[in-house]
Amino acid sequence: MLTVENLKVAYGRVEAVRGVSFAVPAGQIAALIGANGAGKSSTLNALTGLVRCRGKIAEGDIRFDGLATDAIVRHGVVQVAQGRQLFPLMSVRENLELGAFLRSAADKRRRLDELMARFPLLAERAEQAAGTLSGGEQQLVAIARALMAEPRILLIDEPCLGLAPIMIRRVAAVLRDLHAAGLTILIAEQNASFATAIAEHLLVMENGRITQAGPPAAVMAHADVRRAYLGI
Amino acid sequence: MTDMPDLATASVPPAKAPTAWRGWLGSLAGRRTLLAVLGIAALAVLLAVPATASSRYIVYLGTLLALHGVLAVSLNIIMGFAGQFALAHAAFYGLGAYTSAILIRDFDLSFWASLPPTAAAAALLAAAIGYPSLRFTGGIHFALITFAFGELIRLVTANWHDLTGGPQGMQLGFSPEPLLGIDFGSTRGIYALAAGLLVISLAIAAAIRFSRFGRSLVAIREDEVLASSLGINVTANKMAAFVITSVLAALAGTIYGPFVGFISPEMMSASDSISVVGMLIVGGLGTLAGPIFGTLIFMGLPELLRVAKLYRLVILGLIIIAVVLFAPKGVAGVIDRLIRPKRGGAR
Repeated sequence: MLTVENLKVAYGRVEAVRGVSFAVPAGQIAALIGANGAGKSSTLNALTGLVRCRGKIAEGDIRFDGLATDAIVRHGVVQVAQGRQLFPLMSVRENLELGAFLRSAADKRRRLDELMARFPLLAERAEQAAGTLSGGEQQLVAIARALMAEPRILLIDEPCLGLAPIMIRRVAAVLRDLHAAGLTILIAEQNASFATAIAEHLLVMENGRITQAGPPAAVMAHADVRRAYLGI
Repeated sequence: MTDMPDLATASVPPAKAPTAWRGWLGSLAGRRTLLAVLGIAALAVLLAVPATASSRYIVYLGTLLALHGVLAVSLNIIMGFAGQFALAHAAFYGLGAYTSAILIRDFDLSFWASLPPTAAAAALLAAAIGYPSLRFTGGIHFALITFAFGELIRLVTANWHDLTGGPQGMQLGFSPEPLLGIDFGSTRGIYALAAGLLVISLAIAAAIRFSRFGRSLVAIREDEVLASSLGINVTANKMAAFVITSVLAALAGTIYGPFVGFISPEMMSASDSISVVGMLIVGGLGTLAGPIFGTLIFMGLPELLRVAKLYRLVILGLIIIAVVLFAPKGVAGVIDRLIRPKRGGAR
């Protein structure tokens, strides 16, 4: 179980995350939803050591707070950054191989074969420059690159950003497959419909704080949440 | 919309099967092999000319080109592969020349025995200035600190009269001792030393480029935060690249001393560091062959243009401007474009 206690992130005097606490049970999908600037990305970046933070971050007995990103990745916590963020001039294969940077060469080959068998599109586009793929394909490569590290906890920042509805459904299908395989997933997402459809736990963030938390049905039962995020 | 392929399972139509040599040349492996063979052949010819020439001038020019080739190849590791703008390369070159010369003069070390402590001193200094500056992303801190360090080293050398001879420099009366039956003391022997270091530097750069370390440097160059999120220790990798770069420059400096017989703080000037940056940009930053092309243009072309007398630097300037304007990826980029297959499937 991923547990976060009293997490705080500040950029100078601006507090982006103000004492957030939550837990994601092993093998489940949780989603942080909220408007731009609510602190979702800062929370994910803090969990992977990309920004400095205060508070406690742990998986079981292992604490991650204060660790460098490479050490956190070694522990099996990997993030898919917002905007897909591939290396555009590198091929799909080179992007994927970098995902297994901390793995042995044998592990890397095995994982690459597994993922290419699972996602044939990756094999067919393997030598194509990643920057020339469509948005949906890039998202798939970004997720696959994170899977190359064989994470136990996958953090995905805005997986639907800039994708057509049909691509969003397909990203959702990929995430459900990963969930069925037992991966713990934490998503930061503005698209509340997507988050509600896919997550088992919703965490509503506003101004750096979690204001609602629970199963999607319970969270969406609040009229103000429905109005703010679903417009109904 | 309904015709869109499934994201996870979609397949693309196979490209038309290429035929015969065009197919081989068009493949990535074929292109790389061809480039590598051409590059190695060209380098072998270039290195063989001074080794067999009877003219002392050709041997002198070959040694100068080889030493500057080492500087360009080594700077390419931190600047071309890792994307970090280092402006202290001439300082490390001079540091190597002075450290080796002082160790030989004051501690009676042989030329060969002076090499390990010289390399160690360069590595320590590179780590000392690299650590505080390379922790930051963006590279501007690193560029400024290396520039300031280069000037500091030059000024200290120019003002520490007792140790370095001050602005008048040091007259050197030593030559590398024979090793394994080879006389490195002659002009041709020093050329062999410089050419050998160039080949070793190229081998190190190639080994780095195709290693896990090299891939991490390229990832850092492209996007430091993204590289970090993949588990790459960004600061440690940049530091390692800078240390290797600086040690190679210092080793080139140790050969420059006995080659010219005189060293002065002038060899550490910032303009010399910027010239090496220019060699990389003109030759092709981040490519293996680019530093060699850049060295030939920057150092070899002015010699070929001697017939133009005072106008030769103007002609060189125009050539550099033309390369930068019309071939932003340098000479290596132009060659790559000429033999690159037309890519299909890109969208």
